[in-house]
Amino acid sequence: MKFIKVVNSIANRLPFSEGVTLTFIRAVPSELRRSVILSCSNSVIMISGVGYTCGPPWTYPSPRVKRLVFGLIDNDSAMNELKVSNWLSKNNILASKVIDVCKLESNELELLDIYSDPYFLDGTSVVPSAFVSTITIPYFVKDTPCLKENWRAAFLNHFNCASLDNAFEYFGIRLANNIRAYQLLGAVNDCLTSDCITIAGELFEFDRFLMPEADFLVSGISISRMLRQKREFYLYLSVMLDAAEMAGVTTSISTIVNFASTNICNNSKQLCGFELELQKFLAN
Amino acid sequence: MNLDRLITNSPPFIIAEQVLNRTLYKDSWIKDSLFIPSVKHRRVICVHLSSFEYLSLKGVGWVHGQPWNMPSPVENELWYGLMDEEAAKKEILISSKLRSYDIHCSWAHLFKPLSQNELSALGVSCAPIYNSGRLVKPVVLITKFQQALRIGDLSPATEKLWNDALLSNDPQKCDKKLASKILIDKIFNNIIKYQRHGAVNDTLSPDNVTLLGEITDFERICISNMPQAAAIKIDDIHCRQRSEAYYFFDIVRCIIEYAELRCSVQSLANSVMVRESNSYKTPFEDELTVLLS
Repeated sequence: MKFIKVVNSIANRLPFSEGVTLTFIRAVPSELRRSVILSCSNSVIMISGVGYTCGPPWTYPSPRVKRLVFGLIDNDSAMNELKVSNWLSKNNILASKVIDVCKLESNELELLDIYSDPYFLDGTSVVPSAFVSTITIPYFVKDTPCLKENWRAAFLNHFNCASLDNAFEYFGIRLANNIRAYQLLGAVNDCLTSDCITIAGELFEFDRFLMPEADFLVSGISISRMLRQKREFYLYLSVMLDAAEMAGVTTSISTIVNFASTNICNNSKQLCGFELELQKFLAN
Repeated sequence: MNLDRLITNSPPFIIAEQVLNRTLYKDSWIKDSLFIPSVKHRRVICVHLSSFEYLSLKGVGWVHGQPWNMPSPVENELWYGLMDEEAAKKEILISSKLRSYDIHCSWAHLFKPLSQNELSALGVSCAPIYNSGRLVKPVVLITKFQQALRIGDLSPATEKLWNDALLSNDPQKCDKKLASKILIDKIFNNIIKYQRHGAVNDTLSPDNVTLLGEITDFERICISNMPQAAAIKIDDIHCRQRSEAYYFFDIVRCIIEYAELRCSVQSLANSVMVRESNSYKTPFEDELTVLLS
């Protein structure tokens, strides 16, 4: 596949790649299909923006994200990923860590059959870039079903559990508290979906992650931002139902809500949208 | 998730039984044949009538259980897992139109209002309203399918059923690649057929096409000679029809990935695009040609 050649080419010019063997594991099954997973010594890295991993054709406009040329990432978006990742890391939010952003070179674009500057559908030019990030574990909540045995083994191993029910509970508690943590800082993740969360509860793909508003510390959270935070409670339930399906555990919304109500965040004075919606739910 | 254990004797299950018993199907189903096709279709319970004959009952409450008064994360206004009568009527109307055009689609043909007792079982004690304040008239919509599973319905729990359903496209029932090609061909021709009648399906996705290629879920389908289409410019319709090439691509991608085929979207899509050259080309075909060239 041509995108693997692009991956190799990018990997070879990464600052840390000298003397390190990077091994291609698989394409990331997220909706955007533009990322791959590589193993590197004892860590796992992802390279995103390497061409459409189900190709050819290697690039084409996404059916869902109107402006996106599928398979590629524009430099602005890649830099935004880096910015959000740095903010998440600084605030100890569990997420993938973007470690590098690099523009694709013309020989790499040619591997994707791109011989002239690519454009978005609206005519805006695209500066194709890739971003490199690290994650703890190369499995995602919504993952390829044929990998379910490996997925379940990794899930048990990561949470050091003997039963999938226990691992599911720990995952639910961890994810809920991760959401609380960034919401309490005024952020919201509009793409909290099960294909963008690893089974360790790490978030990745930040193109719709909104960092705190400029006046958050003075004025607090805006009404519209609060509504989006509240919606995340339902997105959380959806992610948990997907996790239950992949783990093969029997659960119910009430059980999941119980996991969510295990609050281990220190900041008890403020209430975020997730917490408010959870409390409303429990009161009903 | 083991939904079977969750649903037995739960209100959605009981409501599905009671509603079926108020229809012409009351003598043609058996209790053990009720099932949930996928956790994704959260307000749907299906019943298997005979080979290639399924009914879906939409609007029976959240099949993943209590609490019932939970908003949907994708449809902000939808509460309790209910279906509104207006939406049901629209689905029936569009289904009947598409069938009159000989489109391979599911047959939404019947709805039954929920009784007060059934609503009470879901915790609805007074007339339910949307967030906007509009009154909901809760009904259960009954739709007939040849296959209950959608292309996007593969999960660890449905793996065997999904693979069997895909293979049923192949007359010999043994070749996944051939079965996939036949399925993709059905979808390809279906899109062309409805576009030739001026229609556009704004919800074309792996979640809304069955494993036998039937188009389903008609809430946002737009047909040119229906009142809703009058306000839409023809250019806009064409633009939306063109974009269906990308949705089609996404469906092909999903089939390849789920069926674990070793081929590209391009090669599989190309293999079905053999048509006579002098016929009218729909915007979908035009865009697909550009995409694959």
